[in-house]
Amino acid sequence: MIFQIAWKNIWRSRIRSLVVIVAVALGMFGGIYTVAVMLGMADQRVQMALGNELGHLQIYQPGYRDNNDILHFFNDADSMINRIETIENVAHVTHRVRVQAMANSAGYTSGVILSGINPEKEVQVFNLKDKICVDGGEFLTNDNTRGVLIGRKLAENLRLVYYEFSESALSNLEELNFSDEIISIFKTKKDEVFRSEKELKEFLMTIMDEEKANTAIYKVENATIKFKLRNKIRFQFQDARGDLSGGMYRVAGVYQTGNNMYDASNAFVLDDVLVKQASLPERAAHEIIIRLKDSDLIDETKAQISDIYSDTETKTWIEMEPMLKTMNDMMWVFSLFFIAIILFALSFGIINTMLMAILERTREIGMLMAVGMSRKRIFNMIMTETIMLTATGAVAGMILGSIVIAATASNGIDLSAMYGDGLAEMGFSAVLTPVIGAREYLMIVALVLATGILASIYPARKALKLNPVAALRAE
Amino acid sequence: MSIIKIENLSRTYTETEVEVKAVNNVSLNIDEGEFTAIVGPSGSGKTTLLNMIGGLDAPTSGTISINGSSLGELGGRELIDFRLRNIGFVFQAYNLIPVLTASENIEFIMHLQGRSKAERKSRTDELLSAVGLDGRGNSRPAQLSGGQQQRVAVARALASKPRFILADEPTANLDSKSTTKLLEIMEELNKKENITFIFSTHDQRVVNKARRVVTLEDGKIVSDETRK
Repeated sequence: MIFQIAWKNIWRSRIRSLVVIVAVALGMFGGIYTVAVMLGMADQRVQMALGNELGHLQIYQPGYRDNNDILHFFNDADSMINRIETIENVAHVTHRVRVQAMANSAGYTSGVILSGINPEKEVQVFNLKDKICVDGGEFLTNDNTRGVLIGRKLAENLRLVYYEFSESALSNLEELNFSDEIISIFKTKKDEVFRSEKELKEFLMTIMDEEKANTAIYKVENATIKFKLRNKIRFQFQDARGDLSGGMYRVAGVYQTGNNMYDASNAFVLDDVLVKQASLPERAAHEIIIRLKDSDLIDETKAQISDIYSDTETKTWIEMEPMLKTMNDMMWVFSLFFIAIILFALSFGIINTMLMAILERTREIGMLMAVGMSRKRIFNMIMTETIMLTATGAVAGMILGSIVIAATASNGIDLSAMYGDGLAEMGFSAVLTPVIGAREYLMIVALVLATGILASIYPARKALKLNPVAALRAE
Repeated sequence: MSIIKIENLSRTYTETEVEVKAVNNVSLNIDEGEFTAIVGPSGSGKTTLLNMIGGLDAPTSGTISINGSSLGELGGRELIDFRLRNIGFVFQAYNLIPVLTASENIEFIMHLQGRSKAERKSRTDELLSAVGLDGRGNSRPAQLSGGQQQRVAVARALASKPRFILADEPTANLDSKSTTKLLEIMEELNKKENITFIFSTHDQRVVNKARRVVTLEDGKIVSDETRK
């Protein structure tokens, strides 16, 4: 019955309660949505890293990670892979041969990690195949012995791209928010080629101010970029014998993971070609990469592998990139802190509302005390009322938040036009997908309840201090 | 048999610069089943005396015993529980909870006593019938007249099956028709169920119905008249 009275009491002053409920709802919605965006951003970064760069577990020869020494390789990667594949939680396994190389193309040079991969196994562990750019060629195939897969940023650095206002580029630009005047200027440049980002930007600055050009360049680049597929790249590196070695490759495909740093420094060729050029044994590999069925069992699986290959180094993705895990954890801590600040601010509004309610009901509280309602029960009634008031707003905010999260999660929030380049430089996707899980919701519910309880203490104590005789005389 | 024994009761207020003796050395016994009016001019100490009998205010000196229990010896929690189980209150301004229906207002007291839902329901129906409000149980206080509200308040006071009912100016806000009806109901409950009623009142109509009239002036009993 206390709950029934508390609920009815909330609606005594409908407008006043609604104001607080709406304030709590909007505060919670804002908080939850921001948390979902932050967590989604961190989660995407982790998923990108797992899917493109790390896998769940990696195995190396001891010391390889210290200096990427070409001589720290496994002699027979295939037999290791076959053995590891029998472990229950292992989904897929692949290997990579890696050399530190210098990539040269028509006078431009860039330092890269050149990895030799088995395309069939690679696609089971990594999703680079899905990251091939539009008109960016294709993923490596076993018969493409001279093909190389490079990141879009590396392609740009090696000037293996150009920009052209082709028919399809112009139609893409028309769909973006450019004015008719700008579009008509673009059309005058039809089929004209800009050889670099710098040239393209210089052109944009002739038709718009610098600030607008800085914003527009990302969109225009994406619409007009063309890759110089089949162009040659020479890779040079030191082989296992310490001699200078290398090979000429043709661009088979261009990928874009969303992490510019990775895309600028990683190129892929077939493993059996690279082992020969690097003077390594036929089945050699520097790293064995594992994708798990259940990532929650990562530590157990690592222990199993370490037992089998005790003379190797087995690392989890968290050990390889502790920053990622820290970033994920920090995002959550910041999110909680953010929600706590919102609730702290809202608690003042809640306290004020409850104080007003108690002031208005002084005589009623006096009556309740007179007829034998204990102070504990009066305290509980006020506390229940405050928690209900807070929880009503919080639930409304959570529902609203969930709806908006679900609505925006399907397509993501596309920030590529404004911050795409900047986010990619930091390794984040430009299309953010808000994500919030049950654990986060539970924590938020706990925070809301704590706020309700804390906000109720002062008004409830105020009610308890009432003298029943004086309260009964109150007007 | 005396249900209430008051001996040398005084209440002095010292909160203001001037010391006020609201009740001054009052001794009084009230027997079970009495229908007693405490009368006197404003400031004579009627409400203070009632508040002390109800355990809402503590005397400066003197004792109040109810059924052998001295109120002064009860601790805070015990006193609250004592009020809940032994005393029914009727206030001048009704003091019903506006968000609850008439039935819920009556039931609430029994909920505090920990009675079962079935028991609460049957007692509420019985009391509504006793105060002539059959069929109005689902009405909110705002939907009832002043007289009807005060009848709900009487039913609420009776809900806990108290030993006696203290009514502070119960008819002060009522018109004469409502006053007559309320007095009839209280008189009937007093006679049929032997419920003890103690009123503080200015209202001559209440005084006329009372079988005992205690008159206070300046905190002292100046007359104590029992009628047949």
